[in-house]
Amino acid sequence: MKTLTAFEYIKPALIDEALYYLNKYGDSASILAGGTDLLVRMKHRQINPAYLIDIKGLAELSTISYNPENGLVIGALAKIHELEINQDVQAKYGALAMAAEQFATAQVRNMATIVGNICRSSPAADMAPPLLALDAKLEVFGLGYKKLLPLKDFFTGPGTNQLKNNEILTRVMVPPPGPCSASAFIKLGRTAEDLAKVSVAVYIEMDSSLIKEIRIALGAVAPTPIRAYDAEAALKGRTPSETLIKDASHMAAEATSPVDDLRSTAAYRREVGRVLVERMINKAIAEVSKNGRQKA
Amino acid sequence: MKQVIKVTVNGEYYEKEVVVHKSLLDFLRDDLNLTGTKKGCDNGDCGSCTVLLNGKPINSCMMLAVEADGCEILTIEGIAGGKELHPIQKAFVESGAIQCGYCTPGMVMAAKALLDENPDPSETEIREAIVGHLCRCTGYDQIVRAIKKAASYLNKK
Ligand SMILES: Cc1cc2nc3c(=O)[nH]c(=O)nc-3n(C[C@H](O)[C@H](O)[C@H](O)COP(=O)(O)OP(=O)(O)OC[C@H]3O[C@@H](n4cnc5c(N)ncnc54)[C@H](O)[C@@H]3O)c2cc1C
Repeated sequence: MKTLTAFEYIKPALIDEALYYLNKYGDSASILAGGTDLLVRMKHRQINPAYLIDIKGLAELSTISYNPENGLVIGALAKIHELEINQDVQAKYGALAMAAEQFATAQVRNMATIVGNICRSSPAADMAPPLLALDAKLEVFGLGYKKLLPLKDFFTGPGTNQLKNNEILTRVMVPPPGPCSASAFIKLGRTAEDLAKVSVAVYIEMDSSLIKEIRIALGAVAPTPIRAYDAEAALKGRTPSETLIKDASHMAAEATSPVDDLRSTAAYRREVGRVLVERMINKAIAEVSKNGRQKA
Repeated sequence: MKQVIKVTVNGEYYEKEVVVHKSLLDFLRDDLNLTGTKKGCDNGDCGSCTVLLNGKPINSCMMLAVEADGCEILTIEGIAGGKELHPIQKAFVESGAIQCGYCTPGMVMAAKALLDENPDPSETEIREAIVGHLCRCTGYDQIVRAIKKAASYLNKK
């Protein structure tokens, strides 16, 4: 039977109080958010924290809010389900809405937080590609300081990131999307509730017929979720054509360094990554022109 | 370490001291003797431990009992009206949606959460709602039919 071993449970009501305990207990403490990753790893004895600091009492971090100037702010306690049903997210951040909708099961979506998914930093984390493509920043609190980290530099390896053991990731900030823009996400998995074999998110912004801005992100094809910078550079400032998009998709596949595992082979992941990048670029471009026609 | 929690389970209020490293599932089964909620994989994969927390389905194996402090919980024991089966339970029995029965409490709770929000779901919506549930007797079609039938019972009321 996989029971949990004993720990002390602390539920602070303020960020500073949580930081105090994180500093006091260092490596022997873990932050508990939705628990869908942490408690499972504790049952399997992969980690054994002596203190669990439950951040669900930090009420100020519970919401998802949007305004046209600052964009979307996702608090550390916001659940995947709240993202899934948020109307601003559905209307303005297509890739994020799609990733939330396809995430695991109804039960897990009701428990798991968006921020917990980023902090776990799995190469296959479903929230990572859309947030990378949307150029998200992370707000981090430490004792006596606050900083903003770009998500694109956050992941350092499978399960590792720039966060220190005495810091809390408090909010994810997603800039407002550009005027003629759209984003798209696709995840390929064995079953609905399994982790991705490959996932791809694309954000695109057009200036009449030119690609003004493009960001391409992939999950489960490298030690961390990645951006395909070379492919982005090949497309930026150009008029999209079938050949151009195909070439860029090849470049995106070149940026991957997948592994063979129980879910897929490396060769499959690279090839399917290429195909999905191509599809998502085309999908996002089609979305931009559809929205343009609706406005006209 | 122990802590006192206040929870309402199936309409009944409890104030109980609980070991902090006990899951909500073990608390329901061992401390409250509500053994209708099943322990399958204990990992969030099988859905047999599903209960409604403030009206939403969750895996009680992946939550600590202390995390449920202040919450309202509905388990399989709380859905029938006395000796009268709930329409979802009735539809499951009539549709042959129960074989060994192990997944049934979780399936019924998932169906309840779905039908509370969406009284007339499509087959796809039903299948999506039970994605997090494994039926090792593989009677999924009967379960989907049962949920459809339950919807029609509830809409007639
Ligand atoms: C059945 C099942 C299916 C799953 N399916 C998917 C899936 O489809 N896609 C997917 O990507 N993942 C999936 N997961 C993994 C997991 O559910 C997600 O990673 C989830 O988003 C984690 O969030 P949480 O709130 O539960 O995190 P927790 O388990 O509470 O925490 C995860 C880690 O992040 C740390 N942490 C949490 N919040 C903070 C914070 N604010 N600051 C600093 N550190 C923090 C914790 O200390 C811990 O190390 C699945 C898990 C299960 C059990």
